[in-house]
Amino acid sequence: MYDAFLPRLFYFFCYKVGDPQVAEELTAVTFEKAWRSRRGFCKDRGQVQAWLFGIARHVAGDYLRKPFREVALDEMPELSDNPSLDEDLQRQLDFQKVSRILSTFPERDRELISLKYGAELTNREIAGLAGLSESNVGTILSRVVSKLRKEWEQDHG
Amino acid sequence: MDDDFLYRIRPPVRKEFAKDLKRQLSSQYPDGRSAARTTFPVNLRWAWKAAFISILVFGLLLFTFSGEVRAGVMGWIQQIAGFQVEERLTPPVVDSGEPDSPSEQIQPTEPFAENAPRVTLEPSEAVAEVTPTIYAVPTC
Repeated sequence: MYDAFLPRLFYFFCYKVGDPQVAEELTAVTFEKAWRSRRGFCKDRGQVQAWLFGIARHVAGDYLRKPFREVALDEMPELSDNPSLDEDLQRQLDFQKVSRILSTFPERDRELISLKYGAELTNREIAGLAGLSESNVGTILSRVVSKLRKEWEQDHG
Repeated sequence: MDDDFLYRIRPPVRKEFAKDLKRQLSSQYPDGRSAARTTFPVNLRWAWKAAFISILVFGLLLFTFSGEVRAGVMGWIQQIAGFQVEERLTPPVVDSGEPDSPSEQIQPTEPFAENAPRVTLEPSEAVAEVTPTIYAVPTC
């Protein structure tokens, strides 16, 4: 469970909060909560996924509701083990830019982007979690990505 | 910008973070239980089991070796179930090889005697002349 869901949880939080360091913290909190209560849970993978991302959504909600969020100013984000620093740096800058644009979007749009491109869930799975219809999820995501693309091009233009 | 771009720009998971978190989870909750569960409720469950087994064993020993307790239990059974449990040191039926009384002896059958009087079954006159008895039943 850990190896399968760790990256997806981390990416989910990255899109959700826009900061990889905070995403690590929230991923750890989510796993601790899940680990503590995993004993009585059934082994079906689909149900585990819904359960785990349900916890993650609560953890993210708790974090975003905090009036003052701690920001570590003395630590620069660490680079990965990728030997190509230029590519890594470019990717990091692109992500920061996308996160900045997404931060201006409504909470629900950002949530759907996080579940789709962070947690890698299908539209049906997102619909189950978010309480929307599958077609509605597809429509909203298409609209949000178009809006994101438009603002991205405006920044680069 | 397309879907692949949004997947590609995600920051990679740091290997140190993944290892540290795994180690932390394994050390804190080695078998998936919370710290609170491993200390109080699990011990309590075992304590209940141990206490129950101890009481059961103690009761069986008392019943086996104490005549007073046995008598008390038998009296209780008689009171509740309505039948008496009799305690015997010897088995209830002893097969000694000889019958206890002459009545239990099986008499040997005698063969037919040669000069025994013959009995004929014919209707006798005494039987034919029997008059019926009439009872008077009082009526209201």
